[in-house]
Amino acid sequence: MNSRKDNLMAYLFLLPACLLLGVFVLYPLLQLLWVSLNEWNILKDQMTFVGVKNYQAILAEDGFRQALLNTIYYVAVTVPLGMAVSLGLALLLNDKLRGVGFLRTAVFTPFVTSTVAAGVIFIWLMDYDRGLVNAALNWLGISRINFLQSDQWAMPAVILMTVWKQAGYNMILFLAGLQSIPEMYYEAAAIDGAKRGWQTFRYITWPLLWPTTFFVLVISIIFAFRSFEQMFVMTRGGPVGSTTTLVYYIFDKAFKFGNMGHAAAISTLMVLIVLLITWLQFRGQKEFEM
Amino acid sequence: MATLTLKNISKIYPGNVRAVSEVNAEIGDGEFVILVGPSGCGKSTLLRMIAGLEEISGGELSIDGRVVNDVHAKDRDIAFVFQNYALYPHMTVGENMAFGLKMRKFAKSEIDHRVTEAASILGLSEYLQRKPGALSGGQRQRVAVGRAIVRQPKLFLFDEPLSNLDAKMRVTMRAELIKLHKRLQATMVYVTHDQVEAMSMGDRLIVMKNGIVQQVGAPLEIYNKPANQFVAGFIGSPPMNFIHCEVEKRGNDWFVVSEGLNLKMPLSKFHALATTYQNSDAKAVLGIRPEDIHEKSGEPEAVNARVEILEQLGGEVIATCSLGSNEITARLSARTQARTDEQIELVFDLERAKLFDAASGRTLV
Repeated sequence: MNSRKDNLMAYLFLLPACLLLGVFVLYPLLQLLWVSLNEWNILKDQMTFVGVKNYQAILAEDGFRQALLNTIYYVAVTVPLGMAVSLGLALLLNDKLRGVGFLRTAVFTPFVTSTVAAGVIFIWLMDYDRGLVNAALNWLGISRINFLQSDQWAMPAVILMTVWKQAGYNMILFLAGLQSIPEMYYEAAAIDGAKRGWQTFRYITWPLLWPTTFFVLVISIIFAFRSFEQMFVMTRGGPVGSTTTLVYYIFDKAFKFGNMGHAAAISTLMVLIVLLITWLQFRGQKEFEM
Repeated sequence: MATLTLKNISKIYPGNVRAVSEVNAEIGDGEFVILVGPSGCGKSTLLRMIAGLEEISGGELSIDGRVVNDVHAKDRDIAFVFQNYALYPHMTVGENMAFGLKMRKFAKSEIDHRVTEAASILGLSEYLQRKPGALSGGQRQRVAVGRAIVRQPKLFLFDEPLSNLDAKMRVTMRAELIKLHKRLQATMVYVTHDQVEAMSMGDRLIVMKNGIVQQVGAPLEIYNKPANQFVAGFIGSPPMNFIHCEVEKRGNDWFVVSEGLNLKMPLSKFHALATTYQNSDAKAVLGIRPEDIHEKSGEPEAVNARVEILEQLGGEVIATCSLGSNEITARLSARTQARTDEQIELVFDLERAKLFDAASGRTLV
């Protein structure tokens, strides 16, 4: 009797959270799945059930394959590079130097800057004729690179901008992780004879920082998969589709061509890919548990 | 194994905070020395300076005659057992113990040999593959000790290693550490705030207060001949009783007088009293240990006190009594007839009592 009442109370307390999740996550997800099984041109506003035809069409497309490869390239470079840079910065700025607060703020600033504004600045920086980057290359005796108009260099340019923008955020996470490692482990390692620098990092900092690193890895991959603004501002997915990532491709399909069915199908595939990666990561995490 | 020499060792923190002042000590090869004192007395700071974890602000520290002030902790050939063990949580017990040897590039076979041997001494053989998180407090403590002994260092340093263990475990580990010292014959410096640990484990104690060494000596020497009131009160449990009193000379005899107390000092103390007080009356503090206060059994001179609290410990009874405005503790036999809120006649064994200077606390008689 009493326990039934308790159960009822429990469900009542859960209701708000369930409602929110249902309305804003579960329902859109199911809706997405439904749309992906229909042909729906937003201009005509008329849906026809077509089963898995959208998926078949998508998988046969060169554009999709290119977007997928571009995304893999982008994630595979951005994530490790971004993590290495931010961990390096965190290690440098973990000291109690004078002015370290200012430096930390400076490194963090790009993260709170609008991607659009930062993108525009990077367009200027990488301009072929007047850009600072090319001026520097020129000064070093390296020939100029037309970054954003080259299908080889456009993606690295976008990656560079992303790493620069994201580094501060990851650095803060790494800093918090570094500061949560108790000093006694470093003292014990010093007495055990570990040399300051590499040995201490390798045997103490890195393993004890692993929970933070793992967290940063997961969110970095998710962020990277979702990247859109920098491509939109800097390259419009070009040149010749070389910076068209999956999200950009979805955007093109949905709002340039009005093909909601295809867009939904690609979105569904992307959800599956991210789910798979996250599952792999959590399985990997177990291996490292202390 | 090594000797350790501390010459005017000081630690001054920014803002001119003196944590340790001018400590001098000579620690012999194979000696087990205890640094003891209340929290904040600078004992841990001193130990950390010996280890190289804390910079030495002044003075000279030598191990085996070599000045090591500027030698990095890893090159001092010491082992340190931390209060919280500081076992690496991501390594197994075996890896924890092997780490110091691995960093010093010992051969794998030698590492395995030493770890296996240490593990068997400490009863850890079956836990070598476990992570510290899966061990009990006592086992972690053993791993921390094991990590120290595999290194076979010149010097073992312990920073309150038993303070995180429960009372029973602490007694067990205390005995094990004493045995370990006997077996290894190594030089050990051990920090504790627990005077029981200090008394029972050390060859010699260094008693500290406010960064200053109060007395150095063998446990019983410190117990029987404390240098000052602080040492007398710190060492011994329950602590020594202190009674503010007047020292008076009447004719040829010396008396100590306080509220409810008028006692003739024994003949053996006359010489010291005369030298100290030069025939005049003076203020002093009478110090007498609880075990030197007995229930009257035929002696002529007794003190009337009122029993406030009786703590029955089985083998003995600790009685807290009020004597005028003073409170005194006496260690009575288990067969005592004393009852709470009743009067009791107590005899002070003044042969074993101390007189301290009322102002400086120095032991006078």
